[in-house]
Amino acid sequence: MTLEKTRAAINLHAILRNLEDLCQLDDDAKTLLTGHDLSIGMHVPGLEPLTLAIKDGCLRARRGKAGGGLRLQFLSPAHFNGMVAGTKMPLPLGNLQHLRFLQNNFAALAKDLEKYLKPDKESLKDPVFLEKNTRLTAAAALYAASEIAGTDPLGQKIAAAMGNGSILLEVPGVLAYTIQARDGRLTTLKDAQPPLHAFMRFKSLDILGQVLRGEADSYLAIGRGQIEVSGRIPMVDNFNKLLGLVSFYLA
Amino acid sequence: MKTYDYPNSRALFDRAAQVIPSGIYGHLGPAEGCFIPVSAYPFYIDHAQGAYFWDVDGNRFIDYMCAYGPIVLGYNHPAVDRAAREQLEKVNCGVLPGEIMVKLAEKLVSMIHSADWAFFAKNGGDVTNLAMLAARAHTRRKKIIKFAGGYHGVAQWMQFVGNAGIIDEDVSNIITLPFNDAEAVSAAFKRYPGQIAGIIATPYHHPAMADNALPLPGFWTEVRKLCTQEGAVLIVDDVRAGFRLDLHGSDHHYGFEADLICYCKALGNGYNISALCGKNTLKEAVSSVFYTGSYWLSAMPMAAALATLEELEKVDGAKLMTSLGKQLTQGLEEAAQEYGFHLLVTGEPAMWNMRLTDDDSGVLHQQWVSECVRRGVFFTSHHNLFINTALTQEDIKYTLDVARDAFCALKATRERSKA
Repeated sequence: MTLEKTRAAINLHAILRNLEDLCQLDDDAKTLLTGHDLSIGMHVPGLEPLTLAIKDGCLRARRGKAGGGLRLQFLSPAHFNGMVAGTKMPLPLGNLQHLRFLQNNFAALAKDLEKYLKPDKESLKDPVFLEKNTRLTAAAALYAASEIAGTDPLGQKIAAAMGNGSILLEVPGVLAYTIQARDGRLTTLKDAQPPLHAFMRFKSLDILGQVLRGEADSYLAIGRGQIEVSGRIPMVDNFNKLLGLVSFYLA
Repeated sequence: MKTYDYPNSRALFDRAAQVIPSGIYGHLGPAEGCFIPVSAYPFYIDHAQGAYFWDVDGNRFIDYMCAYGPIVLGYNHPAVDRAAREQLEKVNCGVLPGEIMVKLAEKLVSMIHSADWAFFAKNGGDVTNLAMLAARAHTRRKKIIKFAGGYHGVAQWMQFVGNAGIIDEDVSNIITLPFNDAEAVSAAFKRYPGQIAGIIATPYHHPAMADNALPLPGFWTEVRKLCTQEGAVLIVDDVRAGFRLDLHGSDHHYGFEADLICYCKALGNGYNISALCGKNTLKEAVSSVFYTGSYWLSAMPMAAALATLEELEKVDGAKLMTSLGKQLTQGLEEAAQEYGFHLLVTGEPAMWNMRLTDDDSGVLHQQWVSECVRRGVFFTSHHNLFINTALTQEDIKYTLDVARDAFCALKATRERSKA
């Protein structure tokens, strides 16, 4: 049950949340949004809902309910995970006029996202694709880490050991995320959000991607100066343990 | 002041990366050794002598890590190396132990006030683990109390769930309490009556990445009393502090007696040997534990250890290192103040911890330490440091000059970033 709940939390608040970034990075995804104005709320028992608000060619992912719109109700985390896997259907409620968007455009968005998060080797040879893959994988991993910290028993222990503070994970000038730790709970935020107490800096998007895809040894990368860690090292150490659990859940 | 470069270190690391996991794994490597930033630090040693080592780029450093503790008399101490060589010429790793084993055990028993016997192994973790097993064998109980932040090695029970390969069952009989909290110890004995085999602790609190704490008045007296009352074994992990505070044992230094006391690091001045010493009441329990290793009875490190102990007695090593440490740390605090920084020194002077408190992330301290390293003073930013008896007044003066130059560089960087 815990595994299903954590998987559902990751699918909801890390993977599907990533549609927001996909729609900023990928022209095909942007096209699927053009001319649509709606919100889709995903409600999974035991988890905070995710609302996807689509307007003016943009998609915004927010935690929590939004009034109105199409509501997708799931009976359990396993039911939701089944939908993500393509084996189960949600219960659509609320404004059902957007069902066609769900069946067509949303399904296509999800497929587009999957293409980047589960890339084939050939696609990774294209530098443009590779950059999008890295950005989306990084977002998925960092948001997933916070979900694991909140729902997985081992993740909760690790998060409790982190203390209070914020970690900046960045490729300077290219990409930045802040992981806020407070009383055993983690929140992943975009950009640097001071005050900051620990730092993981990757020399390039390439090296970040290699580490995320398991192609590079992060300890070697530290030794080579390709990853710089500083500040409160125990926070970074414990966060790295959470990233290790992300690999387990996303495998 | 000239700062160092490390091209040969980097080239060697690239070769290592092909054939060794992480390039350099463990606490001597750039990742776990917290080389921040990596660019400021050498990776490989070429040779060493006294208080110094030279890296593979020919840069000289004063080693304030003393190889993380073992080098207590200085590198390549002539008396220690001579004793080791003489033994090696006879035999080192043989099918039987040598007389040297008995001589070393006799020496330890005569020196260490809580020791009636000695058992030899290689690493500190060998003997801390043996101490735990002996406590369980003696009491027929399962639970072990340790203190949060205390490091006793890398056996499963000493680690944390969340570390790779560690499962709940590995640590399910470990009770972790705050150091210096005798009431918590008392409460644990009440909560688990007849279930606690022992308590393992460092003689004072010297965790990595945190300020050190000396035992509060009465703490050890109370813990000793509780262990005696409850029939639990009191284990002092003197692996790191051993022979730097008191040649009779760090428990003696703090006015109590351990049942078992663990030594390694300084015991052999770099020759690999560890020892568990203890009371006669636990001799049989230790004998009953199935515990052995291929190299544990090797004679050469034992000869080195005996010579090390004799030298430490000759120079009154613990007193000397404490005095040198006080002088150095006072100078470092003053140097920090001169440049508008505040350096907090904690722990015992012979193996002090220090931290710049002007920034609560630790980045400022890491920067200052890296500037010292670049100038030939090998500190780390995350661990207590160590004095050895080979350190001279000239070395202390040089260190303080480097510290000042590093503070000057730090101040300039800080002012540039504010501008």
